[in-house]
Amino acid sequence: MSEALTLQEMNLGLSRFWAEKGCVLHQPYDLEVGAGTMHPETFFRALGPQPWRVAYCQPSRRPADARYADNPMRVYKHYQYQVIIKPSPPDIQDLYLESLVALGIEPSEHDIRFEEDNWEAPTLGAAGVGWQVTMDGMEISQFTYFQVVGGLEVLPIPVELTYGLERICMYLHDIRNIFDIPWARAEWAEGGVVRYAALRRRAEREQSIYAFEEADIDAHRRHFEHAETEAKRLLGRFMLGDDGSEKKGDPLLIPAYERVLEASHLFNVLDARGALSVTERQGMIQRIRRLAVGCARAWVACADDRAEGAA
Amino acid sequence: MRSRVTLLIEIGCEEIPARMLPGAADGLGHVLVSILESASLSAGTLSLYWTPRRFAVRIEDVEAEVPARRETITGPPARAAWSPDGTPTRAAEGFAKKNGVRPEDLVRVQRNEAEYAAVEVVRPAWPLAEILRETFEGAVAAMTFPKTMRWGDGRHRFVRPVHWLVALADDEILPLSLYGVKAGRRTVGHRTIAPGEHPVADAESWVETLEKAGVVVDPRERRRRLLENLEGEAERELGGKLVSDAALLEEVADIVEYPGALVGSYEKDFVEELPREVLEVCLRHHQKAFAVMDAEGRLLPGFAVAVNVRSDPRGDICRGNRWVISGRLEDARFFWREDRKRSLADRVKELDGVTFQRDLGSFGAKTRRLVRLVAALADEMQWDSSRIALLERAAELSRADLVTGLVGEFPELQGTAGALLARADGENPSICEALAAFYLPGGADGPLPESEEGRLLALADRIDTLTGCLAVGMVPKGSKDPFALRRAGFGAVRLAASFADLDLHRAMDLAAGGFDGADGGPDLGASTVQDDLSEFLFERLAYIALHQENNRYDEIRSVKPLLERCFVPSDLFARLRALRSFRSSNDFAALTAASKRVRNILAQAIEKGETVDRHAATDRLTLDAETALLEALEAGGPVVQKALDERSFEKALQTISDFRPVIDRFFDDSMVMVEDRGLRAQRLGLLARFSHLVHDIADISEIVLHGTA
Repeated sequence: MSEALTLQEMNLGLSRFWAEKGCVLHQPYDLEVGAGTMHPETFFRALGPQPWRVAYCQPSRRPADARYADNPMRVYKHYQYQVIIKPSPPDIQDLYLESLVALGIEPSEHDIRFEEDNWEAPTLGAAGVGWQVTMDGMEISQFTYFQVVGGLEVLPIPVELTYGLERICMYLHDIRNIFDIPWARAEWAEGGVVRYAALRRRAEREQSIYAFEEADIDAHRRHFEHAETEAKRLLGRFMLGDDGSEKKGDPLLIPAYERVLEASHLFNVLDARGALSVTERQGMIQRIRRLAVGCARAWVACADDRAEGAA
Repeated sequence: MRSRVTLLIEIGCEEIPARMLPGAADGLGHVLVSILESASLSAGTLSLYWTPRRFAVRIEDVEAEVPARRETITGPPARAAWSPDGTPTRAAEGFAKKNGVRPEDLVRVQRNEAEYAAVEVVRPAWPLAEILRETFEGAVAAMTFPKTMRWGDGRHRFVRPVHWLVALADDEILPLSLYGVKAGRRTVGHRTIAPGEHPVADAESWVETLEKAGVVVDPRERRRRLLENLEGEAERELGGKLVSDAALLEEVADIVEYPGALVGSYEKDFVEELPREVLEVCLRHHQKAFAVMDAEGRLLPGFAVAVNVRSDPRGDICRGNRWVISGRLEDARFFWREDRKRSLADRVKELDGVTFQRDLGSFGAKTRRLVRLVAALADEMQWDSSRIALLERAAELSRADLVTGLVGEFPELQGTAGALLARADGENPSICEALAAFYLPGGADGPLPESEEGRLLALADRIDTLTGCLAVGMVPKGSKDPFALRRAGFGAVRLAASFADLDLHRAMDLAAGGFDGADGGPDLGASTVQDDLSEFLFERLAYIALHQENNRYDEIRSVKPLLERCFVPSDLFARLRALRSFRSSNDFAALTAASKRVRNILAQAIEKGETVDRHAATDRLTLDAETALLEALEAGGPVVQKALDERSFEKALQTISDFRPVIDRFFDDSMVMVEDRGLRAQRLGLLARFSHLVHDIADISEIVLHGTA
């Protein structure tokens, strides 16, 4: 095996680097999410005036990208390293480039570019301005200045950095198949290494079959309805009106938001399963968005409790 | 400071999207020019510069200050400023106070033959540095960009966060600031070649300073050197030539600060198996890479890319690009193989599940309308039935590639993919050619499909889209045109103009008839969309005439009344060309004046309830001037008609220009609005006859000539 870092060493390297830059190291969220942005420590903390710095590696599920473990690049679940810094510091681009050294990349030996790519997450009512960062022609990161989250303009502005760990690792090891990624060095294992396949192949194959063939469409629809109803009920407990201007009860914001995450994942499965017409798909995106916006408004409305954290 | 200086402003940012850079530099240029102009400072040559991380303006030979001068400010009239005994009134006191002087200091001045109170003030010299300090930040903050953002504390909004500002008048720093960044003489070098700050001695040496810092800041120079490097590398490393692509070159030259080039190769199998169009789209759209060909123009398994570095010592950059390109080509090969497992024709039925537009149903319904529309149009043009059958087949297959894997992965291949798959299915070559080209033209410019089949298919597609979209209220407003209807409109006009007799009104009627609710499509009922669409398309025609054919607006107005009969773009463009070349002749100038006179007389007569009938009797027209005009009209009428039939509009215009002496004489010798009612009607009838003949060519009374306007 080459001297390049293993996947877990990259994870550790980034964690150490960003911890030194003042980030709280958090754990990934323990519900199915499509991206690190959906973690409450990003979604909620992006709102409101308090400064915040957090980093974590979030397993992200994208059922439609599942490929039965046959495709060398695409998978049902990948690992997204996520950093949020608010307000965005003036030297954030330099910090980002410095962080690549922690991955074993010497920026001066590569062609690293910031190419326009304005990120958008319709289900979260979120959008930002920024770039995809490419290294030697390959996309390695998404770099976004959030502008709107949960339908609300954010102030101050958080910056989000995400690293596609698998891609970077594959490139550094010059391997063509994601399942060959060296996850960990291990004397006890064959060849002294534990590869991605050992941890992920079976799950990828089975999750693909589930997402495309087996998932019970009616049950998923019912669960979606339930998650939506529950989220509405929980939000309704303490909010009057849509604008969040009046409070009536105690917030149960985190359980409400978790129902939104569930709805979002159920939607992704239904979409991968090919169960949604164009209009129905659009309608569901809007329904999830409305709930996310409700959560964001509630978070902003209960200013006293915000300091106590999101997750 | 010297009396004339070179002014340099460089705004340093985080990476600005390539598409916004020329506009950013241009906007900054406008900011500076309007500041200088409003201070009446003269200036010499202006140059714009940019790279992804900066945009800049340098203006040579700028006047360094507004000199001190005496100025007289006029106030209220003298009789309001002083009472008869000479004491200043309240008005005078107010005016004096406003200008910081005592009422006794007011003087009397003459303006427009009246006397006014005035103050004489001495304006001190106003240096350039001061002028800019007061106006620069506000003006830059008001610049517009396609998209802006906030950052940090969120107080400012700009295209990207601002990091440095170089502002020099020759070698002196101007006291400016922008979003809290103070101007200085420190520019910033290339991120890896020469990172950090680099002092700039003066505005003159700035380009050179950046060159030494690894940044080629002049976009024209950067593009030139990049092309040279790309071509050189392709030749040296691959023994090939770059497949030229001016738009790609322009784009990639603006995503680097240093014009580095690098080439690499991929497996030969891809060139052998994948169609060239697919390979080029993979390279171009996904990796911004140029294809490379051999001396005979055959593709080589290689690529050339712009890189923001001087060298690739470890070969990593080449490896990375090759890795990504190979991945893309593998994807393309996978889809190319999968897509050919079924015929294109077999996919048409799946289009019922693909939405064309929310209120307009599916692409399946659109396809069925299109088949009927092309057949009807071709029938009107008397194409033979076998040719119509081919065209119908092309229309049927036109959108089937939307449900292929290839187009799903590479949307840019729409049309091209259909043509390639149709060819693989053994469809008729003229069908394949029409499929490959019917997305053309892109808009007001660019090539049209070469074959008539391609052009008619493209036209029918545009007319169907426009009819449907306008009917459901999707009218483009300002910059909002999400369905690119203006582009479709330009296409429709240009495509129609490529057929000698194609009447857009007829095409619109046929297209509207297709929205009859059949085949799961919408039913527009008795919609009046044709009038709106006619107006919309005439606006596009006017734009093309103004910007590409050098017509003037009055010429366009003069042909517009012809729309009441039909809307044949080739005919309208031909008339406009004739008017353009004919308008400078003397006889024509006089004739337009006469036409205006006729128009006014007839309009007034109609307003008064007079009978205006060009078929009125002529028995009482006995004056020489009248019979001469009558004879001229009787002789000229058929000549004009024949010229019109032959579409020789210059000849028609020449013929009516020859009427000039008789019409002038008529106006000299004859009175139209006489007491005698019968005679009046006959004279009006004669003018109506003249007017009618002229209007068959164009309403030349709309033409505005110097001295007659």
